[in-house]
Amino acid sequence: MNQPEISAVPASASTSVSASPTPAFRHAAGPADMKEGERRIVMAGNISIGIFRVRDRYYAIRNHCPHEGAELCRGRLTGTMLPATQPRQYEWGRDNMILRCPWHQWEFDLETGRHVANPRLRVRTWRVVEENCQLFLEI
Amino acid sequence: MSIALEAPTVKVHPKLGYSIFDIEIHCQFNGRMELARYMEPRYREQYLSGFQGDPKPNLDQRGGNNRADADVSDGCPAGSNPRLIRGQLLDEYGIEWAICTGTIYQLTTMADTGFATALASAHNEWLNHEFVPSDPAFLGVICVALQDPDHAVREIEKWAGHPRVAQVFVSTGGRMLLGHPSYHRVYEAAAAYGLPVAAHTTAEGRGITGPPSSTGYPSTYLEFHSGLAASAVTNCASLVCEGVFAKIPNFKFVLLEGGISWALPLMWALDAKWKRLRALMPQLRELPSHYLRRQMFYTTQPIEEPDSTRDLLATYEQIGESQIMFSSDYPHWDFDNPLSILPGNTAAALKRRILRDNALALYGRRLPAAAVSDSDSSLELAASTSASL
Repeated sequence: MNQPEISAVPASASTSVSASPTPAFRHAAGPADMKEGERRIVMAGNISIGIFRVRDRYYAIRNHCPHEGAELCRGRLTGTMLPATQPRQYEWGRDNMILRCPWHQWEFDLETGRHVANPRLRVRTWRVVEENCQLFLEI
Repeated sequence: MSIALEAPTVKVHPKLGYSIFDIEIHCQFNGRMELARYMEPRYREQYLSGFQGDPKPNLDQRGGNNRADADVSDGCPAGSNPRLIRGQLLDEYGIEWAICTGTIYQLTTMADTGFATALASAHNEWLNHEFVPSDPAFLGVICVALQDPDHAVREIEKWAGHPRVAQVFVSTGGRMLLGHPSYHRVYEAAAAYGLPVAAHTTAEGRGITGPPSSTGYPSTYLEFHSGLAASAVTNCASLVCEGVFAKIPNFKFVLLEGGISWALPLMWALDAKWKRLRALMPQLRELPSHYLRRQMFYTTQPIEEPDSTRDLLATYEQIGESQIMFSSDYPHWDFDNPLSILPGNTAAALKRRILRDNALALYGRRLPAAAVSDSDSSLELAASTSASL
């Protein structure tokens, strides 16, 4: 298995309103009134998607764990231990950016959708756009 | 509520086309009083005050023992409400039969033998009289504490006639390995009633068992849990070398939560060394692997996950395609989804044996034919059921 790679630096791309390089279909995802740490599960066609608000930004991730098919977005939102260089060296990071599956507790990064232990495994994520107090998923 | 067997109605999952037999769900009593009322005052007070045997090394599983999404909408412990189990497990996946093992796997690790047998008896009363009759899909077990083989035999004799009891239930952890001669009469009693004996791992390291690994105490749950295979290997070799399988030809042993793939190199090693050491166990008249391929059964949860499922299936075929059975472990955190383990369309016949037919062959002798709501598969199902009974 690859070494875990966890970005300690938030990606520069903002999930707030910005011009999309390629026009995308927008799916209405309800009012932009979610509180810090709150989640909302919406259907886009027949795909279930979880929307999370963390530190004034919105994230969208598919509500399906690629392992055994649990509803990933019913899991706990938390942080994790960052990759260490020494045994028993622990540094907490990515607080409220790690979604853990309710079944086997696999960890996925909300921003990238990547599994923390095996970054080759990735859950689909979408950009969330806020416009006129409403949320839209760029599908 | 009835203890009589009736065919459960099952809606077959369209992905499979046949119903599932689940070897293990961990049903839970709703508070200690449910068990305590079956105990004598001597032990009732002890149990109600919180005592449940000697503690085990407390290693962090990162998030509790149960699935985070286990249905506890009634406010009761996960796995304690039959209606919620039906909704989240049986109907969700088309499970026709499910063996309820409860949550008492540490009986054989308790220093207080009297308490262990009292807890075994109380748990058997609650499980088989109260919980199992609450859903037609449920089958029960007979929990026994192997420190007191006489009591274990009495419990087997007491419960073997119960139409919904599927097997005897013990722990892989204890003072002695499972092949020890003092346990043979327990196995003989089980075999006489046609009941397999199932052993559950994870009590290793508790109470009177010694360290959870043969060489010391691990620091993390990952070491502990992957090390349970060593306990399974040693117990399995013990049952062979102490002559249990040879002595009791209709003794069937089921390993719960102990893994499977290690059995293949174990068979290689036993067969190879037996050629030199046979004289130490002359009761073995066949290669050790022959006994294992007939009398040893394995359950899938937690499913082993190599990069290629093909590797796993090839290993399982060599271990014994009739010996491996599906278990979900609901509602525990390492629950397995029967629809997603062994993905892909390869080895569909083996998958069906694992999810259904092997268990029906082992336990099906007492079971009525299923009431199948999927008409397409009912003919095939009836044929396979009658063939395996």
